[in-house]
Amino acid sequence: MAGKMKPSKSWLPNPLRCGGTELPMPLPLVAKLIVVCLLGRLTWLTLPAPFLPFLPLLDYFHNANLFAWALRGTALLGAIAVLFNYRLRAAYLAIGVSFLLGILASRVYFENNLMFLACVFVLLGLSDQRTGSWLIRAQVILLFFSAALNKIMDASWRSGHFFDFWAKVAINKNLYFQLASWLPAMFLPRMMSWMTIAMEFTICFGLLFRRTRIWTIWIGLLLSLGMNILTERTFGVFFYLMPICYLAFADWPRSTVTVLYDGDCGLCARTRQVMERFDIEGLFDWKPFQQASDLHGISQEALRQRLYVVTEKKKYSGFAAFRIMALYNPLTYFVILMTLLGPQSLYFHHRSLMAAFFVFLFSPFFAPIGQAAYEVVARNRHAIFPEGSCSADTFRASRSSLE
Amino acid sequence: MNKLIGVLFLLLQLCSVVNSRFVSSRWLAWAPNDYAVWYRLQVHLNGRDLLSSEIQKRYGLAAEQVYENPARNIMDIVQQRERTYSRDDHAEVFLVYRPNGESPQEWRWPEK
Repeated sequence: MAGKMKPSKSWLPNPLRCGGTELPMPLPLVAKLIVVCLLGRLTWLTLPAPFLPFLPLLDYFHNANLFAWALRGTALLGAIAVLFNYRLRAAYLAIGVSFLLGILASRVYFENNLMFLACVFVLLGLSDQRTGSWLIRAQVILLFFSAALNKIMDASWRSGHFFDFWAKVAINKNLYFQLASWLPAMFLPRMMSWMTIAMEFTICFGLLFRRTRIWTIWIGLLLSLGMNILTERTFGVFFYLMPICYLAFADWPRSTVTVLYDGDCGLCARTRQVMERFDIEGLFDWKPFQQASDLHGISQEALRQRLYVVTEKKKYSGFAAFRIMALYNPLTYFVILMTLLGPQSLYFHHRSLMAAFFVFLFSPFFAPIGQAAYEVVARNRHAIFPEGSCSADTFRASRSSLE
Repeated sequence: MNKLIGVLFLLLQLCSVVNSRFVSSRWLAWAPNDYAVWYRLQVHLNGRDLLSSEIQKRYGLAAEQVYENPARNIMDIVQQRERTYSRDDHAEVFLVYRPNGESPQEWRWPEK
């Protein structure tokens, strides 16, 4: 039986560590990723002084720089506190309220992506071990429901006129316009409109049910990716925010995950060393199967051929095992986010290609390629690393000396 | 208690979304990037038309652009400015806009 993870206070100030805090995973991961986004894109610096506020009361501070800097300072301090796992819920609320106040202070500052960011942080601040992720989940579902509803009730969306007009302004891929010219007039804009509406309704209702969640998340990722490919825009922070918030729908392991590997395999032992170095959360418990007391119903023959990962609900082997270890490691998401946070010029105005690469890498379409590569390495592992692992060899050596 | 506040916070948003279906104001309709409104603002003040830079400074909006929010938002911003900070200016504002590529429409301030 996998053991419970114990929070280690000495690890808490580690900005890359997300577990062991007052909130259940993956909420701290969601919050940290958004904070990295805020800091990386300097979004916190955009918080304004009051100018044409929603709340007339705030006009008292009309154009007061001190007000703006108070909001920015609060958001920044909140962000730093989140990074270092200090008073997390208060930090979330500080960030959320800063952005909410910033929006209330200026109609001109209002943007849906900033409003969503504010709402997510407020709800993170109101979450705890008992509520889990459901407040964030409800926020995401509400967003997609409202967006889909608004589109389907808008005649210019239904007719495709919106998409036709918007495409000329926003889409920078010639292929789209070439395709539109080959098809009957308004066919492509209308199809894109209805596809967007259908995807948003699908996301809204698909996220409600556990069985459909994983596929729904893929649809959501494809929607974000598609918009990015067509326009090379991030739509404020929406491009980052939505995929990050989908993490709130993931079932995260509540106890250590067992990794069973061939203790006689030098490559496996080396892999363990590398993986354990990057396992900041201490989530994975690596065991040579030769020494494991419980093989979880997996045969020794199978374990000689492939590495296995055993979670509370499922077993994964081979490439799938490595993929799930990557998906359960918060570092993976930090790496992906940092890779995509750069200015557009860094990617020669094709950030979407980088994003598409990551989506493909973790998609079911890459699995056969990954598994084939795994099989090749697994078949030749003794040639790659001829030396056996210390633990299994030492065990046999000590046993034979006793005999 | 926190859970209750969270639920109320979500319900408030839901009420705003439903309300937006019945009013012209669409600030919290949760309809991100559902609009593409080309518009041009002209402001006549003290016997002359304001420059683009002056319009930008006055309203925090470009004088001409494709705006990805409802046209009503532009009108709300202009109205609030003219009713509050610039109450004594008596500026005349002319907004021509094309919501989502549809036929051009016009709006003037002061409204008659």
